[in-house]
Amino acid sequence: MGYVAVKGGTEAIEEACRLFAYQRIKGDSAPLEVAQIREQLYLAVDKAMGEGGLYAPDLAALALKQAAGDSLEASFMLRAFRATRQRLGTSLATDTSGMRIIRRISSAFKDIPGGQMLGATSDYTLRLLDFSLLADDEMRREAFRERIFRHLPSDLDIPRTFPKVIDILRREGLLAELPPRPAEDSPIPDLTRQPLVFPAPRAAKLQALARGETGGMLTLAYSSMRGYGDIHPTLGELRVGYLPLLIRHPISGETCRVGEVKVTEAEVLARMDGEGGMPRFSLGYGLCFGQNEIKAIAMAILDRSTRAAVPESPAENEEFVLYHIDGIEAMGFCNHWKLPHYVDFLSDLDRLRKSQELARNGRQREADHEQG
Amino acid sequence: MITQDLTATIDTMASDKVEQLLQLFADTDLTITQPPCAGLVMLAVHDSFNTAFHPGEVLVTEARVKLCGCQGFGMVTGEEPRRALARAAADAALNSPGPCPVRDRVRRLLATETVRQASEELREATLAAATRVEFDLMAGA
Repeated sequence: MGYVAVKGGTEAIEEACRLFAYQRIKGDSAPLEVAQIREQLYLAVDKAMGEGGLYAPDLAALALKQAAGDSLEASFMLRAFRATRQRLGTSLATDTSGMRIIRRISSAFKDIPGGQMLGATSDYTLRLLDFSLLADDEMRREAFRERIFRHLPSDLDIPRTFPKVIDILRREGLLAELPPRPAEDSPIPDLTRQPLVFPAPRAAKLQALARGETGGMLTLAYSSMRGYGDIHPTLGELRVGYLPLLIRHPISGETCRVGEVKVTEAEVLARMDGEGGMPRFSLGYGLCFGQNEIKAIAMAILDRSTRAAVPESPAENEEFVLYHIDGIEAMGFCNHWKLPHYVDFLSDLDRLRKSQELARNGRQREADHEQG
Repeated sequence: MITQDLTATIDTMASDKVEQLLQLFADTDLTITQPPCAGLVMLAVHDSFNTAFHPGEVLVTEARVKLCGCQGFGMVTGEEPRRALARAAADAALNSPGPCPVRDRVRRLLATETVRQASEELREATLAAATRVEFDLMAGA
């Protein structure tokens, strides 16, 4: 099918853009400040950053405002923005053992070294509307702050870093390792500059998953959990915290901490492998920008499911998964159906009419033949 | 390394403190050799199998200056030209091999801010630590 360009409609398009902006401001409510979105809708900001592949909380909040809350559009804007900025460099590769952790749980072990910290979560609440938020004002906020800090224990033992839960399994030889990776000095594949090829190098697969769309990844991971595949995971560890952004100082050559990046990391333990005659747990890994636990867990499940020796379901097919999880590509393709397809459709219509005419003529000939 | 850690606090300093820091350089020979420029740094992380990969890019601003005969480099997160400039100037002040009239004042300001930042991080860590949980198995489990 070919595409045929149309022209015209400039004024109508400009008016439609103005009308879209007007919808946001036509009410009586106070203008929404970008800082309010960044601070109070931070999970939406985190999601947009992860899917846009750009860590920039202020811009993600701005994008959400401009897109009237549409997270796909917001992540699209972030990805478009990043294409306008020069790459200043690549950070030093860091592992997550030194992460400044604000939440850490395990569903594999009740007691883990360093302890489990629920952190900021609504996991254990009933999903009931909190009508007290209708009367959200500074006085109530101040009272809440005062209350939360008043009851804060002062003698808590706060470790700086936490050991990883999977290291326990690794030490006991219970974890299946992956084949040796490329040499340390070989460049890390980068999908912002290279196309995705299959079989995808592990680094490319992780990058594609890390900037995938949460809903799409959840759908595929859920299909595997439900039975279209056989990854029934146990969450070895889920961490939310801050990773240092480290670079090589261009003058001194020393390691320089630019700042911190909030991430969520998930490690899931899945079915046992029997390679080499020695059964072991296999591990799936997920890490994404911001606090987005569903995405990190889904990523870890998909990392594991796409390592199936013989793919038997969509979630086990690496090509299927990686080609369908990018929200911006998927929404772009879906959105393009809204663009004019007049000539294509007229062509289809013409062919359909001719086919019907042929069918009618054929039927008529058959009827004439039977009667004759 | 210590000086790098001191300038790191500039990334999260309040804007008025950044201006206060820049004011310290008002009567110095500070020269901007590379004006603040926003760009991207690709983050690299090792997964649990020690495979390095890129989760995404981080918006940063970098600048370079010359002060007291020494070059200074500053990079901060976000689009923050004044902050990047302040970090570059502080970097030069703290690392210049010769005398630098503002070094002690810069160091004092940054040391104070580093303590403040550590205190904020401790407060956040304490809030998180208060959610530490020890589950008990139910009878018969």
